[in-house]
This record gives sequence, structure tokens and C-alpha cells, in this order.
Amino acid sequence: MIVTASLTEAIEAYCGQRIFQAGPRLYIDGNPYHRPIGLAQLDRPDFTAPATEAQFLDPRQLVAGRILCSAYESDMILLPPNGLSSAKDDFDLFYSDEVRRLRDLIRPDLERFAFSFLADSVRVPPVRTLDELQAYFMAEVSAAGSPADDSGNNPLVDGLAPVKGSMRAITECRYAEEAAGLHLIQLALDALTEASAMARNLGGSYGVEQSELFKIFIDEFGYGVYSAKHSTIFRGMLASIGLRTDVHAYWSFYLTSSLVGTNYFNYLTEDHRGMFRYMAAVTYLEWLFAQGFADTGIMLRAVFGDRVDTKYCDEHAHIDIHHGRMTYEKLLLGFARTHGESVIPDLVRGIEETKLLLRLGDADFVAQIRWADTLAEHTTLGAALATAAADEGVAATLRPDDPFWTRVYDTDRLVAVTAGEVDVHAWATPRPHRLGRGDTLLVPRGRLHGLKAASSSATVRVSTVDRSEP
Amino acid sequence: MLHGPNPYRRMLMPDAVAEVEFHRPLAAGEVTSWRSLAAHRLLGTFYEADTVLLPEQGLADLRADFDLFYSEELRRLREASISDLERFAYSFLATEVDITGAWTIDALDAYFQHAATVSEQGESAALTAIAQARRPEVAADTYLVQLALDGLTEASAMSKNLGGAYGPEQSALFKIFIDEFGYGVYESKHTTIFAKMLRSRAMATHVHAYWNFYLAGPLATNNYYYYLSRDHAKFFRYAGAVTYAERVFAPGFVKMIKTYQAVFGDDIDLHYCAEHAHIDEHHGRITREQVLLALAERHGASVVPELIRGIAEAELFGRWFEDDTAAQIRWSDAIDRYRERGAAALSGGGEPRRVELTPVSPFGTRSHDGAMILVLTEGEADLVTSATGEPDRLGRGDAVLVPAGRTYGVRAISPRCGYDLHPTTAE
Amino acid sequence: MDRVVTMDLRQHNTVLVGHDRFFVFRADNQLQLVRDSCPHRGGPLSLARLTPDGRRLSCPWHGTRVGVAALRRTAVPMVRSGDQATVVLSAVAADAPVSVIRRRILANLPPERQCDTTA
Ligand code: FES
Ligand SMILES: [Fe+2]
Ligand SMILES: [Fe+2]
Ligand SMILES: [Fe+2]
Ligand SMILES: [Fe+2]
Repeated sequence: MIVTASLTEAIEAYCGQRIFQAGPRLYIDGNPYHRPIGLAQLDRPDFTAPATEAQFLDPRQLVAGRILCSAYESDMILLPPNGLSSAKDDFDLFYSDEVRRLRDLIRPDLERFAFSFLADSVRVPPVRTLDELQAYFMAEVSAAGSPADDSGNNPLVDGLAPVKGSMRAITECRYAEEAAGLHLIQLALDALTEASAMARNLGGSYGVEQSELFKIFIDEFGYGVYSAKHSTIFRGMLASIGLRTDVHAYWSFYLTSSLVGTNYFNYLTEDHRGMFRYMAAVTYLEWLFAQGFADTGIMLRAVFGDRVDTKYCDEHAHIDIHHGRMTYEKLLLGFARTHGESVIPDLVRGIEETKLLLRLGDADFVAQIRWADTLAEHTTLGAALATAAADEGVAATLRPDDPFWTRVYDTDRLVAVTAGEVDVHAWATPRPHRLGRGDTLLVPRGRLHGLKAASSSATVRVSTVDRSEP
Repeated sequence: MLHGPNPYRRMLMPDAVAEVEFHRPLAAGEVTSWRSLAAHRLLGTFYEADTVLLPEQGLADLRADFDLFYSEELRRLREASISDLERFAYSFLATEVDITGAWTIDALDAYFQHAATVSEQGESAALTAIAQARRPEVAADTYLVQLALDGLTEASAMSKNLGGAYGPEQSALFKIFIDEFGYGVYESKHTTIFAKMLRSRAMATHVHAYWNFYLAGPLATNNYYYYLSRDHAKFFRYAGAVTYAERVFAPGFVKMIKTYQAVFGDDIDLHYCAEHAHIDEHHGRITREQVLLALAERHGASVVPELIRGIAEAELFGRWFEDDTAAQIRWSDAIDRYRERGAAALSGGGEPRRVELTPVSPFGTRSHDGAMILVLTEGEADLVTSATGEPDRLGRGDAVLVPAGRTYGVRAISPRCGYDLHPTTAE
Repeated sequence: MDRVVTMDLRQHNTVLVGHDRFFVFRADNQLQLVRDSCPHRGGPLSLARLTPDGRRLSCPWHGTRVGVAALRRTAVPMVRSGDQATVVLSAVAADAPVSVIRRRILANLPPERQCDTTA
């Protein structure tokens, strides 16, 4: 364990790198190395005390999520599609000795910070034998709405089922296109480098299970045909509705829960003691994806009509029936058979942790779209609450060319514009919510947003508000 | 002498490693030295801690070793020292290989084709040594052992270059990877057919059974691909190196089949070699067109020298792999002659180093930076210089010349035994 | 353009043409050069095992059962004379690289026992 002072220093040094600083643009094209981390939103970058589940949406989790994502991805090869020439210096820096040294220094402590709550929040049920594992898994996937079909081995997919949960919440939004876009952006975090975490489990030697994992990987990689690679068809889906397709173009719009969720899989594959948890987590997800992507396709068609290219969703609604079965039979049960019942608790834990992360992720996402969809109402609400501000607040002046970055607060805040005009970016949209002089927006705790001056200069005052009354 | 079926276990000879001064980096001429062997055993272990190793028979009894091998403690030590160790092992490349002048894509291709042709037309030092050996079977096994280093975990370094997003070139590399992984069918995975080849020679097939018999040259070569794959700033070098390797494998395996058929007739399963003799021709084409040249095309002039560097360095390592293996084969094969030379060259001289052993001392192998004369001063012992050959019995007073870089182990036969190591210039 | 490829069946059993693969499949004591590609996603049928009744192959990728008869219908023109085979490849681009190689063919093994089959 590093002593606190030097951990903080290392984090500051890491985040202080040019590529981790914000630039003026909202979106980042052609440069997968540039990731504004927004360390400045923390009063003190102290990550020694692990975040609890209750603190899941705190700014420290967001910042840690961005750092860890970059840390893990420096173990992958990212090159801009139109060639390196424009970003060669950033490439060199991203993979430099210095950045890596800092990464190695901070990664274990940040992982402890970010993921310790899983062990505290998750109760691992007493599943001990292979039979119990089978029964447990089937009960879990049924409870999650994806029971097995008649064969008993494949996830059942109903392509006509009415959509539920967060997919339904998207279709209910006033700005459903933005909400759907935000969902795809969250998926893009992983999908544009799809299966990279899995790739970390391909090296080495572990027998039949290694080959079985590889069969899944072959599909993810589209059999070596670039146009069939899942990340390529994902780009096709983004492009069809006018979204950017470069890796991390929407870096600033990844929600905390999306970062933590994606990082979790890298965390389990970076440290190979997490191997069994990973295999179970992958099994659970592949199984749920079959119906999940059928639902996503239905949602997208409901929102965008025929213009959206849903091949990515259709592909997963089909192939993940196979992946569900293959991972279940050959990985989840395969590892338990080959390595004995002593690994079963690890397997079960992987599923339980994934369940928790999915639940937190859904809640975060739905809260974000509900808020972003009703910024006008939240401006009215903000005005009503303006007198209830609990402190003087902090003033800041914004200019159009200021670096753009996004943040969350650990308590509810009021953002009041005292001069000029300000655009609020709560999701990726060409029509951000404009606040004029005298407007006050209520920003609930944990809601991701960035501000950009819409006049040559603007001033905002951010104060804490207590909404605990009924 | 062999490691049991426990992929986490690796004899690093800690006492002998202590002799190595790690602050003075290896020079190009030192690739087969003890300093190099010690460093590359360690480095290889570091790299493999980043891959998934599970014992074939199931984890049950080895859970504690698994936990230790991947533990946070060892990881911290690894992360704290790996960059320095890499610098120790590979920094000489920066001066040994120079790429100058204005390179174009055509020039890159011409250079690549030339390097490939040179390799194709040249002969393999190790295969020649096998053909000329008195005990060609043992010599052939020595070469198999060196191939097993990579063969049983084949394509692990390559797997480190699959994550991320880098366009059609990534898919092209993956096409090769699919073949290495036998299309996901365990029976046809290259590691599986490599194991079959070993089995046909009645050799052990678990990962690193022959740990003690890996030579420094092959270790340095194998680690080189990991070295380029760990730090993706070196990605373009990796692309150059892997293109070269895939291209020269095919003709290499054709030669190997010829030599091994001459040695063993039909008593060996050479399917692994045949698969590579053919498929790597195909891989050579894909990597050249769709990886090497395509990367140069897409990413422009600034990456070309890096691609070239990879090719040139891979060529160097390929040579060291061969030369080191050939030297070991020759020495081991002619050990009688080295006994005579050892006895003849022995003349008082400086203070020898004393080593004592009992039959329960752990077995390990090592080499020396300079030539040594090993003299048994007490008891009886076996000198082990190959994985499958009969060891050479040494009695009291027997001497043997161990040239610089030759790898050996000593196993006590009598309850106590001791030997002296005299540095010598008689090489 | 039609291209002619010859191979020695004692040494070779697979033909690579650009991205396409063909393998020598034995059924009813006859050798045929068939397409090594599962109709589902192009999985390697050469690495498929015969079902216990010997009439279908289970694709190693996702378990699709492909009828032996259907596979034989994918055969390309070939003349076998002793160990020598002459293959005519139709509609092949003139610059498509062709390699003749030897690989493991699991599809020619006797049917797999019932127990370890995939769904
Ligand atoms: S490719 Fe054959 S079953 Fe899918
Ligand atoms: Fe996928
Ligand atoms: Fe999948
Ligand atoms: Fe191979
Ligand atoms: Fe190859």
C-alpha cells in the first residue's frame, strides 16, 4: 500500500498529463488517447477510503472510473482509423514509460477504492456443488427475465416482447433520440473495443476451456473479417443515426456506472486471480444479452424508425443465444468440472457482482435520461428552490473556448447564471439546454453534465441545496 | 530434473542470480551469457504472470501456488522491476541496430523480402548440429525443448496485440490467431498438436516441464515478442517482427521436417511442423500484405522505421536462437572431448569457487559468463547437459570444460559431493 | 477464371483460395474436395465430428448439424487418379493466392460417441 501522500501525488501527476486534460471541444475525434479526467471536481483527490455502495455516484467514483479506464486501455492497442500522423505525440505519451509507471503505481489502490464495495454489498449464496450451480444459474437468469428455452440450454428470446425497464424509459422520453443516443454511447465505451477484456484471457494455457472461450471470441471478432467484427457493425449502428464512430469520441458522456461496469471486466482480467469471477460474469452477461439486444433493437426502431441500422442488435439477439449456451455449458460448468467445486464460490461471486453492477447501472442511466429530458422543468424547480440554497455558493466565469469537461456532484446543487448565457450538456445533443441570465438549474446529486458559455462570457454560481423536505 | 505439472513453478536459481550485476545492461555479444539466462528466466516469468496458466489436471492441489503466482505481492515486485529488467535485457538493441535514411513503403517491402529470402536460403545452425551429432536423437530433443518454450503456450504474446481498436490490420492479425488457436477446436490448437509431437518422443507435455533446459538465446527470443507486446509504444516493432517470424517459419519448418525424418524416420509425429510449413506460408502472405504494408500505408512514414526495426531485430534473435541451441547441442554431444580438454587445461591458477551438493539438493541448471573448468573434488555426481540424454557420471578428480554460456546442472549421486569451478581461458 | 490446382493426397488435404477453404472429405469411400464452411457462420466443418448416426456433422462453433449429403453438394470439380488429385476452381480471381496444405481433418474420423456432443 502506498502512503496517502504519494498516492495523491501520483494521481495528480497522472491526471496532469496533457492527454488527460480537457480541450475546448465537446467531442473528441480521431484521438483515442485524449481523455479529460476532470480531477478538479474533487476538493481533495483522496482515494484511500473505498467508496461504499451509497457513494457509488460520488465524483470520486467518476474520476476513478476515468483513470482506471485509461489505465486498462493503455494495455490495448488504439490507433485512429485515419492514421496516426495527427496524433503521434499523444500516442507516444499515452504509452510512455512515465505514464505507465504512474499507472502501475496508482492502479491497485484505485481498484481497491472502486471495487471494494462489491464484496461488502454482495451476499454470495451458499452454492457448493455442480448441481447447485446449475440450479442457481437457471434461477438467476429466469429472475432476470431470460429463462432457458425448451431445450433447457439456450436463453429464450422473444423478439416481440414489449420493452421494459430502461429501454422503455428511453421510449417514454420527450427527447427519445437523445436518450437512445446516450444509451448507445454507454455501450460504445465497451463496444468500440469489443472483446478487448476477453482478449486478456486468451494468452497462456488452460486447456479445453481456453478453446471454448476462443470460440466466443471468434464471433466477436467477426471471423477475422473486418466488416463483420462486432465493433465494426456497432460503428454502422452509430453512423446510421448520425453519431460519431471514433473510439471515445463521447468520452465526456460516459456515466459513472458505465465506467465502473466496463472497468470491472478489465479488472478481473488484468488480475488473473479474477479469472473465475470473470468467466461467470461473462456467462451471465452473454446469456442475458440475447434478449437484452432484442429489446435494444425494438427500442431503437421505435425511436428512430427505419433509418437506424440495428444489425448489431440483431446479431447479438441471435449469436448470444449460442454464446449463452456455450458459456454456460463449457465455461461456467466446464471450469467447475475441471477445477473442482472449490472454484464454485468464485464463479457465483462473479454473477452476484455483475447483478449488482447491472442494477446500479440501470438506476444511474434512467436517472440521467429522466433529468436530461426535463432540464426545463428542473430550471423551474431550481428557481423555486433558489432561496433554499444552503450556502453562498462558488462563482465561476465561463468563456466559449474554455476547456470542456463533465462532472457530477456528491450533493444536490443549484447552478445559477448570473451573467451571460450558458449551455448545459447533460447528454450528447446538438440542442443543449440554454440557461439565460437569472436562470437556476437544479442538478441532482450524481447527474453528469458539462457547462459551456453561449455568450462571450458568462458567470455561474453553484450552491448546495437541501431538498430533504417531502 | 523436470518440473512437475505445475505451471507456476520455475527454478530461478536464486543463489546464482545473486552473482548478476543488474546495473550493467547486457551487451549484444552477451545474449547467451549467464547474466542473460538469469535475467530472461525472470523476465519470462514476469511476462507469463500476465497470461492465464492453469494445470491440466485441475487446480485443486495447486490453488495456493496459483494464488501466489498471481498475488499482489509478486505483482508489485514485478511491476516495480520489469522496466529495469527489460532495459537490462534489451537496451543494447538501440545501438546494435540502426535504421537511417529516407524509407518508403516500397523500400520497406524490398528490405522485408530480402530478409526473408536470406533466411530461407540460409541454413539452420541447430538443424545442422543435429544432423552432425553423434547422438542425433538427444540433439533433436534439445531443439524440441527450445521450441516447447513457446509451443506449449503458442500465440500468447500475439494475444496481447488483439485488444483495442486499430482497424482492418487488427482483423488481419486475428486471422492468423484463429489458425494458431485451431479455430477454437482444442484438438487442432497448435499447442495441442505441439504436445502430440512431444508425446511421440515420449517427452513431457505440460507447460515448462523442461524449464531447466531452456537456453538463454531461445528465452531471449521468446521474451522479445512479449517485450514488444507489453508496451504498445512498441506495437509497430511488434508488427515488423511478427511479419518476419511468420514469413520465415514456413521454410524453417520444411527444413526441420527433413532433418527430423532423417533422425527418427516415422517414429515422430511431425504434424505440427507440417501444419506450420504450410499454414505459415499463408500467414506470411497475410502479415506482409495486410499487416506490415497496410500499417505503413495507413499510419505513414513515421512508423516505417519502427516496422523495419522489428524485422531487423527479429532476424537477430532468430540467429541467436539457432546459434545458442547449436552450441549447446555440440557441447553436450561431445562431452568426452570437453572432459579431456578440461583435464588438460587444469593448472592450479586462481581460487576456484566451491559448490557442495547432496542428493536432496534441488536440481537447477545454470551457465557462466566465462569458460569454467568444473572439477569434482568429492563423491560422485551426474553432469546434466540435455533434457533427454543420459547424464555423464563424474568421479572424484574428473574435470570438464564448460564453455561460456553452456547450460548444465549437477546432480549428486553420493551422499555428499562437491566440485570446484575454475575460471579458464581455454575455450 | 478457372484455375487448375494439383495435389498429392498423401501429403495434402486442404486448399486455401484467398479467404475460402476447401478440404478433402471422405464419404462412402470416395474423396471429394468440399467447402470448409458451415452455412451458419462459416465455421470449419473440417473440424466437425460426425453425429453418431454418421449422417451429419456437428459444427464445432455453434453446433449446427450439417448433413453429409449437403456438404457433398458443395464439392468442386476434381479428378482423382491414384494419389494425385486435379482440382478445377471456377470463378477465382486471377490474383487470389492459392495454397495447398495439410491439416487435421476431424470430419473424416469415425462418429463421435454419444456422451460428449454439443447441443
Ligand atoms: S458456424 Fe457452424 S454452427 Fe455456427
Ligand atoms: Fe459481441
Ligand atoms: Fe457474445
Ligand atoms: Fe503456430
Ligand atoms: Fe503462424
